Amino acid sequence: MSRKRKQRDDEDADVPISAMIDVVFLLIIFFVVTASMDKEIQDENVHLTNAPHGKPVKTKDPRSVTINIRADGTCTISGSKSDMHTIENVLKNAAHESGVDIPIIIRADKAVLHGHIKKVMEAITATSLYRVKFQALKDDR
Amino acid sequence: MAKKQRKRMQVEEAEVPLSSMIDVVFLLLIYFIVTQKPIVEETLLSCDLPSPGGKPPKEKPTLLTLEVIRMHRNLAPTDPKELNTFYLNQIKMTYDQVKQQLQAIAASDPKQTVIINCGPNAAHQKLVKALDLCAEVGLKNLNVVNDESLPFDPSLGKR
Repeated sequence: MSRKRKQRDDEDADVPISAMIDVVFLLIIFFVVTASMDKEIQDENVHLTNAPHGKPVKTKDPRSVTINIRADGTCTISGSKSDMHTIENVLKNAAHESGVDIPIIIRADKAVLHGHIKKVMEAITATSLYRVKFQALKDDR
Repeated sequence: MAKKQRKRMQVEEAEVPLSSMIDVVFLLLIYFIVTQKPIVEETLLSCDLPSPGGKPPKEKPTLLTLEVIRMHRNLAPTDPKELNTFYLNQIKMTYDQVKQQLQAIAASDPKQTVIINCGPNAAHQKLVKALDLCAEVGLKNLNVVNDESLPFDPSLGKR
């Protein structure tokens, strides 16, 4: 009788642990992959403004270049701080690689003065790019 | 003897703590759910830039100029009062008045070009508000021009 109970204990413990570990790793990898999709391009310190009437973004052009402008006027491209000179170089390279019709996405903080954006826009026009888009939140507030 | 010992070892092996493993799984799940940002829908407002070295557009009677300039230097750049005043063809208007005018214009000619003349001391929010207004009434030919006549004062943004 007591032996039988012992056997049942054994059966209980047979829930596959290696499979469980597999699931844990799978979950970790899934979340890591889905979380870091746009992180590199987008600056966390930029607080976008609202534009409830803009068209929703369905597909993003993979060639597009994103320029972040913080409230104090500092610019970042893919996570690194950039001055006007480096921005111009990045844009020149992008235009050289994939043509002058690539969209330039400006993610500017809502409180940044337009004078800072003007400098970036001048750098864009200097590299003969012309498709400029301002990113905003489609949030009705 | 050997058989008995092996059996005990098997039982010990199977005692890897399952319930704590499940705890870890749930902990991870909850951690990732909590840390994940809510999905916010984003929008892109496009506009045209003047060609490099191009001359400023000549004044035509059909040209529509919406001026986005800093009105109140002593208020914060994103103050609601500051964001509410625009100049449409050099006439001072509130946001609602501009909206009415643009709606009337868009109804007669949706291809009307709007030149958005943005001053350097205006907040970006104000420019986006103007672009959003044009998108709302259905005007698509938008040109953003930088107002060169006004001096840029970076200290105005820190208020």
